[in-house]
Amino acid sequence: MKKIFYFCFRFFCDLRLAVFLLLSLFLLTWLSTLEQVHFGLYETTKKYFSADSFFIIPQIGEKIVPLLLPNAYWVCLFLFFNLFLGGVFRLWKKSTKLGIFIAHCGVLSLLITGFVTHHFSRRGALSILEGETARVAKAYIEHSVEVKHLVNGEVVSVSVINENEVRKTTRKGQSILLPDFELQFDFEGYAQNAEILPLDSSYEKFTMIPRKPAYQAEENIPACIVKVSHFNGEELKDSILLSPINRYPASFEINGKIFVIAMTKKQWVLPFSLRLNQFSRVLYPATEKPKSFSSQITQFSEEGTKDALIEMNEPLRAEGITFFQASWGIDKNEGNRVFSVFEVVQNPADQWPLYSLCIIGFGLFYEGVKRGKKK
Amino acid sequence: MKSRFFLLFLLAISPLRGEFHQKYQKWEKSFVKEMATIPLQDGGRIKPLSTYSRYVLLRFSGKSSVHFPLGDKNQKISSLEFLLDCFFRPQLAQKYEIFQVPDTGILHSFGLPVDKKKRKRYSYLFFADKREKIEELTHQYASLDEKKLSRIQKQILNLGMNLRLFDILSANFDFVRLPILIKTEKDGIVKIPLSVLLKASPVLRQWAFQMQESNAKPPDEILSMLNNVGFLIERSRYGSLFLPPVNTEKKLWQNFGQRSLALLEGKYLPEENLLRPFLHLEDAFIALQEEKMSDFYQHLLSWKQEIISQSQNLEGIGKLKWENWYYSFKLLSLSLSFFLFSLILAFFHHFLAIEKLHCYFAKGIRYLFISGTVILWISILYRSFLMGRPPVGNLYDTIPFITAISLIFCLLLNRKEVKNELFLLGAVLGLLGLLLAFRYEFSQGIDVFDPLVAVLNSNFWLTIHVLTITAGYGAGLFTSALSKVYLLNKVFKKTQKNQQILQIIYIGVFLTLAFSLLGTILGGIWANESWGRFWGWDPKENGALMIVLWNLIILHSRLAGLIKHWGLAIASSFGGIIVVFSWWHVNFLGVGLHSYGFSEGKSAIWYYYFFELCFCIFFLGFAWLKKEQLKRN
Repeated sequence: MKKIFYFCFRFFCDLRLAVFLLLSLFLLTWLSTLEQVHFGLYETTKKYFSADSFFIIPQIGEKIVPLLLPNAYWVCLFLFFNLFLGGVFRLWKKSTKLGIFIAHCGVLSLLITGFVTHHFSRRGALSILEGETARVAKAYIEHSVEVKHLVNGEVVSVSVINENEVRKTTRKGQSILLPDFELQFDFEGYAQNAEILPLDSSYEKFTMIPRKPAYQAEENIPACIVKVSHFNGEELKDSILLSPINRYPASFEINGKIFVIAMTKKQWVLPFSLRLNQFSRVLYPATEKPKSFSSQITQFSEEGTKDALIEMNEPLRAEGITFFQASWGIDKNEGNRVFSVFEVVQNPADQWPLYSLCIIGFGLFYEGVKRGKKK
Repeated sequence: MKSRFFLLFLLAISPLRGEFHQKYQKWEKSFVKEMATIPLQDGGRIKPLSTYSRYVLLRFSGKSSVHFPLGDKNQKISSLEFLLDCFFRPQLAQKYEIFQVPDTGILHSFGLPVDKKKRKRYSYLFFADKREKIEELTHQYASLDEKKLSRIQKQILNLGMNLRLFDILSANFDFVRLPILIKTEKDGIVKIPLSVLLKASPVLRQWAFQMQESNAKPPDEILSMLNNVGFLIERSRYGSLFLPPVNTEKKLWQNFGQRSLALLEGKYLPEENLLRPFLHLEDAFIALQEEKMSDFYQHLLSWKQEIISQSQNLEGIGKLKWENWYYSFKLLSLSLSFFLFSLILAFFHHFLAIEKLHCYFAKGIRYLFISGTVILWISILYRSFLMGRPPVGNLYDTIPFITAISLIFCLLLNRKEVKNELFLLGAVLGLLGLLLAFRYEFSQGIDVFDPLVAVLNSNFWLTIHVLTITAGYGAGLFTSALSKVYLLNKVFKKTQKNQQILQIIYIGVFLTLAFSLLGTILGGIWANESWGRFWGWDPKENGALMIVLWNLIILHSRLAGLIKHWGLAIASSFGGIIVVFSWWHVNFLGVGLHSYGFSEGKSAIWYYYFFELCFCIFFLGFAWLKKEQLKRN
């Protein structure tokens, strides 16, 4: 046992492992840069950086690169242990390498930041028309299936199934249970990007044909087919086709209860609402070149109302959530009113990179000065 | 035989070629100097006419001056003189051979004769017959997505746009050059200046209103005159923005067409100060027609005084003179020539190899290099002062700055024993960097003082992130170049000095790592402030990360004993490829948030990669041979 432990320790401490991991990360970064030109950023990141697979095979354009590389997620994880044991633990008491030790600590905290951000952050887009108030941000890419129970036309309760769950259960052939509604959902088909086509000329029944993922992940139109049954064994005759391009939610009756079901962009109800008072865009005179974008907003939280200005490079931070000026537009359906789009981010590790920077900067500076003096 | 005929033919036509400009009369020097600082608004800022003319001519021809045969001599005129010809003698300017057509296939496709001379430029008149066709295609391509155009289509679009710009420039003063005629019973046909009409605009409007009220038909003479005016205004409506805003709170300048329209429509009252620029120009053109040049100059000078007095309190006016000086001092060219001389000196030093003069040569090389560096830094700081922002904000800025940073490393990191090698390397780097800067500016035809887009418009982040990361690039290129010196020395010249160079390479790798790492993290923090994410696998971010990783690999494998002297030098020489990938190549990928959207010079990068790879492979092979030799012994 002790031997195995010692072997593991030696393995993770090894400098050669560090070189191998750094080299892998280097190759992965390079290849992912080239690959995203053809497949888009979202798809490439999903392929190169996910915990789901251990290895990847790069593909540039049509050509497959004959190279089996470890997934960047696992490389980073190994690098973390390697850095912790080899770069921090072992350097702990060597006073001659204090600068290097500090810099390694900084990089370690940077890796932790990346881990926390990857797993615990949340983001969406909040679009508000000028003069209106909004509270619900929508995810950029991810969708969800919302099931609502209606009584006399009023929504009584809501349940949400995420796109991820739909993807997983479809692949594994499992069912999703909603105990609140006593309903069972069996997803018979799912596609990340699909075309919806009518089955006959009456335009009553539709089917989905899976397509290649779009270059811009935001342009994907997912679809799924679901079979609904009640816990008591009652089953709906037809499966339901769900897709965000459906204008109206589908409704069904089961065990005497009425439900509506729809697939939409995943929603995020914020802890407070925002009103957009004014959006302004300044251009450099006589050009189309933007000089600045800014939105004057009012924040309505439980503690009261507060005015704020959100600008490019000047986000609003409130209650752990950050609002960035992301985009703007003119809504033609709303009488050509202006709207402003904010990127909404909740990230526990929001300010951590700054701390890492200070640590690394100090470490490198210390080391540089020390070596400079020696010479 | 054939060539002799050709020669005779050339001799026969050469006087003809010269004849076009036989009557060319040079603008007076002092006049051109005065005109240089006329303010106008372009590209979102106020710039002197000299900068504007330089940018226009670079766009047209990729050169900053025009050459043409005049009699037996070759006449050279500056971009400003060319622009003045466009404004005041358009017939002459139409004959200048200024439009570059990189691909002669375009000329074939339009059925135009192709000149065999390389990099030949063509005149506006040359395209006159095919203008309609070019215009049609330009219109068509302009409505398409630029990314989807082929190379030839892009060039046609570019040519069409340039011809349009030439039209706009030469129509700028049409309102004074072309006559407004009215038939009167008393004197027959009379010419009226536009200013008179503008002055009478309230009366004219009153009269038009009355006509409309009483439903009367206006007299034909008046109608045809108004048509005439409308035509002139239309022609100058897209012209250069010479007139400062009437309301100083507004930022938008106007051209003569817009101003005349505003006056006729009654948006402004025809006050004296608004009419004065028109009056001065009208007087100037009368003088020009009568060939009274000194009067012409005088009137234009008063026109300039008028514009300057109207724009006195506006933002950016104070720096016009400084900007004009920036171009007239030609600091970058000066710096370049210092580096060049230092190299020439080194060349002679090497081949003459006179022991006695060694110390003088070495001193000469050193001082030339140091002065070149100092001038380069002065020029960078001067530009930074002019722009009111840190020295790096666009791709052009990075070139002189990165060059200057690598020169600083040459100065700071040198040791007594290897001083000369480092200075010489610095001169080579300076020369290459500045040549690249000129090449980029000339091929892109850009105004290098362009203001920044919204997301970059933050001096704090520009200073700390961009300067750090570009310093990392500079350090990387310096280290890569120094490694080459080390490797060459090791193979061809066995000296003790090489150990010193290796130490400097080691420091260079460390500095590249430090600057790139800190710069990358700073960039992430900035991205977190403006887009809400620290890292997004954007190509530019990836490029920076690759530099960091490569230098980490070098340091750690050195520490692990995986590489030794050879390995360290070859690996850090290879680092140059990664810096160039991150600095330039990612721009060609056309994706990501940092994409600058230009596509020229891609082949140059591949040449560089090829050279660098050959270099590395050669030395890898050499190192391997050495190792084998050692083993055998």
